[in-house]
Amino acid sequence: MISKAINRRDFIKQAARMAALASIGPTTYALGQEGPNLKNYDDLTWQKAPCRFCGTGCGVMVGLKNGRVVAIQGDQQNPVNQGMLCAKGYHVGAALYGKDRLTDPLIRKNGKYVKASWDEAIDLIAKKVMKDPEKFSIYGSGQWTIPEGYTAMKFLKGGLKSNHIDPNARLCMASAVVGFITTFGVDEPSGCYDDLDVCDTVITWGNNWAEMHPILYSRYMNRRNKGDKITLIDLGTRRTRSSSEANHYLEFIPQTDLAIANCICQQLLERGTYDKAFVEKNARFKGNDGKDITLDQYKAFLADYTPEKVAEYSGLSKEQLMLLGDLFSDPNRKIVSLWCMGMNQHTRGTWINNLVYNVHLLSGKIGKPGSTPFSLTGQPSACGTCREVGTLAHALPGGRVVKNGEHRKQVEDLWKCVPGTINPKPGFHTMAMFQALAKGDLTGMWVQVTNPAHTIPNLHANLKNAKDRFLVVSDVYPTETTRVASVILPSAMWVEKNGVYGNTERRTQQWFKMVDPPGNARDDVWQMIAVAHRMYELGFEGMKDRHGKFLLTVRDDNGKEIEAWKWEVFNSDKVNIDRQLFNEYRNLTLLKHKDIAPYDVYTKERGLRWPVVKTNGQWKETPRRFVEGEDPYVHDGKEVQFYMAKAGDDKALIWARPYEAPPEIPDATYPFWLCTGRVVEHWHSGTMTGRIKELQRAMPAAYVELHPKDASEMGVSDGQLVKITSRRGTIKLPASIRGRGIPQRGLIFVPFFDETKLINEVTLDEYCPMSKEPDYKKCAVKVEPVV
Amino acid sequence: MKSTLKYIFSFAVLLGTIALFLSTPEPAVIHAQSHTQGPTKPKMPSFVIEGLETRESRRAYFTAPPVIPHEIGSSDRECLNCHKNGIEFMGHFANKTPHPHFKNCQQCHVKGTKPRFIKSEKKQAENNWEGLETPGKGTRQNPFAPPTLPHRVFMRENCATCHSAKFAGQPGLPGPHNERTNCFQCHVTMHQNLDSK
Repeated sequence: MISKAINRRDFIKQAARMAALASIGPTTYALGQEGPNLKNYDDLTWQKAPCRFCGTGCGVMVGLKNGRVVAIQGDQQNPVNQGMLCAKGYHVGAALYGKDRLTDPLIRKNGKYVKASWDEAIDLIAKKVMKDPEKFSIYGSGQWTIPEGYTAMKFLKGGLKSNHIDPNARLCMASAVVGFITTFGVDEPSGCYDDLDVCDTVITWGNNWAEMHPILYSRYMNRRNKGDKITLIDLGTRRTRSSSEANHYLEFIPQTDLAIANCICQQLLERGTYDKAFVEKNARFKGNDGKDITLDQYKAFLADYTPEKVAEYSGLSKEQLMLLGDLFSDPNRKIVSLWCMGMNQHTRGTWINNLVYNVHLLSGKIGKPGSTPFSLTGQPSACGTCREVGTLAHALPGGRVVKNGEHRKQVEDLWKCVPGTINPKPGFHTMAMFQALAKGDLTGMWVQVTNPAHTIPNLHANLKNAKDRFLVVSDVYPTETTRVASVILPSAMWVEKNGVYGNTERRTQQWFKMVDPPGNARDDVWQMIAVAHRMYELGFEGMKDRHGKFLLTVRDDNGKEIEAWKWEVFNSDKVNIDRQLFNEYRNLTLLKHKDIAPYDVYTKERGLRWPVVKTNGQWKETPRRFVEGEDPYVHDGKEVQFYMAKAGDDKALIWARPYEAPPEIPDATYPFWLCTGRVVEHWHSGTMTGRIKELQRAMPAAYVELHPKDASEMGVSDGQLVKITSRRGTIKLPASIRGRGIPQRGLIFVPFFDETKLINEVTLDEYCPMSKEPDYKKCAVKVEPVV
Repeated sequence: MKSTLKYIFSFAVLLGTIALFLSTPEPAVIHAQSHTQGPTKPKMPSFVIEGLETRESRRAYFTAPPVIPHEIGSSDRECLNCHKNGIEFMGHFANKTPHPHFKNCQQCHVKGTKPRFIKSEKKQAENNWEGLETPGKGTRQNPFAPPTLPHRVFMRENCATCHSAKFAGQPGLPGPHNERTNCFQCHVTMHQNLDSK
């Protein structure tokens, strides 16, 4: 109706004119199915999708017009966000339309990137992979859709007989995974977001949820605005937006969270206020060496963690520690503990996860509405893809592991692999993978949906030589990683393809393709299938199943093969490859009771929380796991049953995990702690949000937050450049004093989104020995003003 | 009797609207079924156009949360000092928020200017985004029915935020009967499924 050439002023005049006409106009009355039926909105339609960005998994309604995304609204039908969104979510549509979208495959020839056809690129990758299949790896992310992760895993573990696949989620939630598995025998939170609606206390452990999970923060804090008496305790090392509304901001010295959690347990046992009946029925005690211990031995272990002793080195006073003891001692209080990167990106990430479970198990604050330890995830499908599909160096789908022969056989049978195909030896985890790439133990890598040359810690050491390896990068924009790639593949993103994501509260959400990708950009799933099929055509044995057929064959509902490697077939409206792959993967989800429903169920729902079990002909979701009446796998009369406990006794494990000093502590030469993290405007390395005008303008560049007193002692004023140096690298950044965050004295904070200011050249690559997750939150640096 | 009154009432409303927007009479040519005779060529007062322009310049698309057009501190409490009830001060006008019960303001509203720690100009994002345009008015079931709302009302329950004599420091989107406050008595949203649970 309105030509695009029209300028804004003319447009508004015309709009006003139409408005005036409409006011006296004809009777065009027809209520649209979705969206308004206005004159210039005739062709506006709305479709549901989960947001592209974080792990909260908000539902968005995508406004579509003339084959383009034109508007975003919070989905009021989605129980996660109930119509609300954050700044990133409202502007997610513009992520598709950055001017420098990658639209053609590019191959590096003599140092220059040359446009290539898909056939040429696919052929090149296939031949390179075939040359050295054991030394080829895949590095993906928690932003892979479930079918994408599933395909990548099948490609590598089924096709290349190797386990060198890991996601960036290793840098994000690996500690949470190992924490869950060591305590409960199975991964992923038992609670859900509903607990935020009924609890009366939230304790955040090093978590700035007002910026990182703002929907959940508002969901809780809005209750206060409505008159609910709720408490927020913010345990942190830096004052953030989340601290501003907290009843108590408890500032601790980095790493002493280990001691603080133990101190709460010590008080519960010392005071006798722990939930005796709950602990007797549902928990056992384990020493740090894995041996069973008695309650008395556990008490003896805790003797080192009295409030007096912990107050000496934690930064918290005895009174503050006792306040925490009081909260957990109160049998009527409903407490949700929340954490994300602060606890996971920790050289003792697994331990601190175990310790927070200890607190909730001892106090019986788990498995009841409003009482749960709840581990938040950062990425939209870190749970759905990395944890459930299991795109990790040691894992197989549905909670299986490569070490287990029975598990391998189950997967081989579904994939129809030749028996013995799946390698029982775990592959390289992320940190080892990049070190192997640098050393030459790996010669090739395919990176999808992530930007490791920006986000891996200690970049100088871990990304050196990457340019000399065969690096395939599937992405939507030029990134730090595409700059070192051998082949760049242009990908379709978000609503340019079908997809399924799984969020933090076990909610699996599906969306349909809504718009075409630009130029020759194509789906990541297709890229993998096409390379695999090219290898099959060239006679590569690994891409054949036990009957000699193509390993990654996608079949329709009647079992007929779909030629999915042909783009015109994959991309046609007649097939939905996602649906077929999802339904195939579904067969593997039952073993550990992570049951998901068939694809078609999700097309009608705003997501369902697994286990989703058919009862009386209805697919029923599970809000709270391990809880009688909610989780169908809990036996009658059990109330709470940790039915996946390794020993088979339905008991969760309370671990005696000690405090351990971090590997790098500030000293005379490097006197400051460096902590890195996100900001509300940007998503990870900013490749998408950095191209969205509103978000980029609001937060265009990285900065360093200093405590005002530290700044004044150094004579640094707001905006002044300072030089940050660690043993690994150096960076210059403008100072932000009394900005949105105020770190504790002796600590500085730098956000990591800015590709022109790579703070990961400074960070430390030490990691938790159990989860292999590096610690981006603590290393020692010196800070000097730039004169 | 009742329905006659309603028609008279609606007609009065209609005339009010017309009086506001139209001044030069010209026959209606676009809508063949026009139920009224006479003036249609609109001449929007320039202050309304300017208000709409300002409004559009602060949003990525119609219904996107507006960016913050001024310097801010780090706390959301500062926002509500002015925006809780709205305030006019030394020629500046702070709007009353339509959703005072949401207090994590900067969850949705980001600054429309560069932050103070950035001394130099940074390269801006280049993007081909074309956001949803500002609509005209909502449709009417019949010429005497109140217009429907062309946007959803979730988080916009306080109509006067925009539909008042002043908006965003500019004269706002005045209606013919700003003195009435129970807007939803007559006006319903067209965003049926988007809106309802």
